[in-house]
Amino acid sequence: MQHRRRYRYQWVLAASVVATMSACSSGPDATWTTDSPGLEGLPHEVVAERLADPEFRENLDLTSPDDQLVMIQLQVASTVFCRDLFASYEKWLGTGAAPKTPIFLRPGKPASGFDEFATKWTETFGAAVESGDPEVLRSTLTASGGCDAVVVNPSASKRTIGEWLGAQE
Amino acid sequence: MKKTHIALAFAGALLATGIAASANAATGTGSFTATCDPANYGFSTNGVAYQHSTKGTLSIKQTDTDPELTSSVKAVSQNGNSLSVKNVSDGETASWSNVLSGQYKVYARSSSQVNCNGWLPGNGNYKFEYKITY
Repeated sequence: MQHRRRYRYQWVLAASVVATMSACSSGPDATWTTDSPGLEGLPHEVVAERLADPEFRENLDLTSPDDQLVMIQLQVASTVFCRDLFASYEKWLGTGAAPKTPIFLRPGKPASGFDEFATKWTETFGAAVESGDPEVLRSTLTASGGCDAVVVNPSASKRTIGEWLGAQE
Repeated sequence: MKKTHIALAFAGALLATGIAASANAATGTGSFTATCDPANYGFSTNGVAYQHSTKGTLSIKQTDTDPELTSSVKAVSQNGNSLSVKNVSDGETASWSNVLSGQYKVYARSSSQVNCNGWLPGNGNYKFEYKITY
């Protein structure tokens, strides 16, 4: 009788472990494409590029379905913003004339949290531009978690803004 | 005498800077369950977002694990940008300098395949405890 109880206990334990593992291994609920709802107003080629990036894709898949839309919107808009800012920086060095802070692209229907992030980035990078010192902008462009890992021109090479500017950790 | 005053003033300035720097850095602690099977399962998080207010250093210390193992840790921003993956054991700190301000979540998983499950199928999970300075 005691043996039976022990085996029953072991089976219940094993079944619950398997069930937990299945729950952990379930993939994201949403399959994202360039035409997915909520991505209107964002450039298709950048959406496609970011959705195809394995590192971004991993972070997206690890995010709860409710937070995935705003993550994609922010990823695409911040990528465009970083490239515009990098172009402004290069032009600044070339001409000596301080640039204007680029506009942070806004999708047709921004998800919750989008505008707060956009405002914060515009303020942070705007302050670097308005400092009047290209070195301040360079330092901000190479900050981790920001523009450093953004590929400058995906059709040309995989070189990132951080690599281009010689950023070293 | 003058040299002494200059030295004292310098030391005072250094102390004040240290106090200001430590006053700016916030800390938090947390824990969650992560996989011991990195070949088959991804990173885990407890979903807590930390507001890194000013550009600067962000660090994650692995305070304890059960069973004890080395973790791969990273932090991910709201827009899906990652801070690079670093490996840490109990008591060690992963640190990233010049981190842009923003909200970051902590992610971890075992750095290698470890059997945390005994006789049960699969490699199972472990408990990851951390302290973040942001």
